[in-house]
Amino acid sequence: MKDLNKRFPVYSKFLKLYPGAYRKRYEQEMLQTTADMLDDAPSRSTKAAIWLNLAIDLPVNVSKQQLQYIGGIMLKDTPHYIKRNSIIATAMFLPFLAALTTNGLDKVINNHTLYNSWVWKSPAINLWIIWLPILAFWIAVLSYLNYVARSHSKSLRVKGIFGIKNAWPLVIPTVCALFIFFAIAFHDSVHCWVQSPSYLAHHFSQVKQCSERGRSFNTWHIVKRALF
Amino acid sequence: MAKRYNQLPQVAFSILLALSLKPRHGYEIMKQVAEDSKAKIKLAPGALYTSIKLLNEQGLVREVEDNADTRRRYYELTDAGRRKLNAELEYYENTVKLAKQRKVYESVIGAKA
Repeated sequence: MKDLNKRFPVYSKFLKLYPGAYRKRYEQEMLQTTADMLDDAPSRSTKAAIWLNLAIDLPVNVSKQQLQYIGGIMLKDTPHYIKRNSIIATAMFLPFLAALTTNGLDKVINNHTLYNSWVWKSPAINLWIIWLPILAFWIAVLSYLNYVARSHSKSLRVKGIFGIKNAWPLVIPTVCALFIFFAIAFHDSVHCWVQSPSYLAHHFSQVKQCSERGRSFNTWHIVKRALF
Repeated sequence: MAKRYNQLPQVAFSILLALSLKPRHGYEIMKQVAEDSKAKIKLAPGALYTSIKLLNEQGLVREVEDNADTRRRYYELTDAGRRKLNAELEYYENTVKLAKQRKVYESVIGAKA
């Protein structure tokens, strides 16, 4: 069996990309089958075609197995309420994504800028840009806190308390929400702090001032629109 | 309510068909699948063992020992695998029968020719 690893040193290295359990079970068989295919190939061109086929087959099936493995862990060990809440929270970004897409199309078709588009002027803007992401963020955070609290009551292991392995679906809505909040708070002041490094070094106080002014303006503007 | 029929992926079906005559090892399965499909399905080891894993988990194939060849693992159909293959064949047979009744088959073949 070790001969096969020596015969195909590069391919056997690539096989290590498969999940551990799969590799343990099928690695040697895959090497043996590859050896059989190559031994049976009548010409160099057939051998080259086999290697080409293997080069396509490897990434496709490695991804398939890795996804199945990760999905299997999630399906097996992730509590039902975390799966459900992650889906609900992620679904809350759909209006935001739909609005962004519509805005993009509006720009392409009618050459409207964001501020002139009907999406931006729509009264529902507060819903998709603020309230739904806030709701999604809190659903994700509270679900995670609940998960931590339940883990704590079942087991006192520190690893179990802070292990994100079975709560990772909650990361998606949390990151999306933080990204949107960041974009809302800072998008008008990006030009202040995305300067050349030398400008930033020489005019740090100006950049800071500009950034703060932009941030306070944006935050206040959005909150005012949301409230009144 | 009628029981839901879960159709096998084409590669998995081809592997069951290849194992219907006798137990085979990986490369033999690949060759038989290529022959049965007139070289339309050319499996590589990754695709082959992904499907074998699936079939094994569903209890449709199992590993068998072959004392004459210890380097390779042989697979054979289980009873459940044979039943599943029969169900699949019945499904395809009915589909072809239906297509013939509706004269779809002739028109497609005719159009191709």
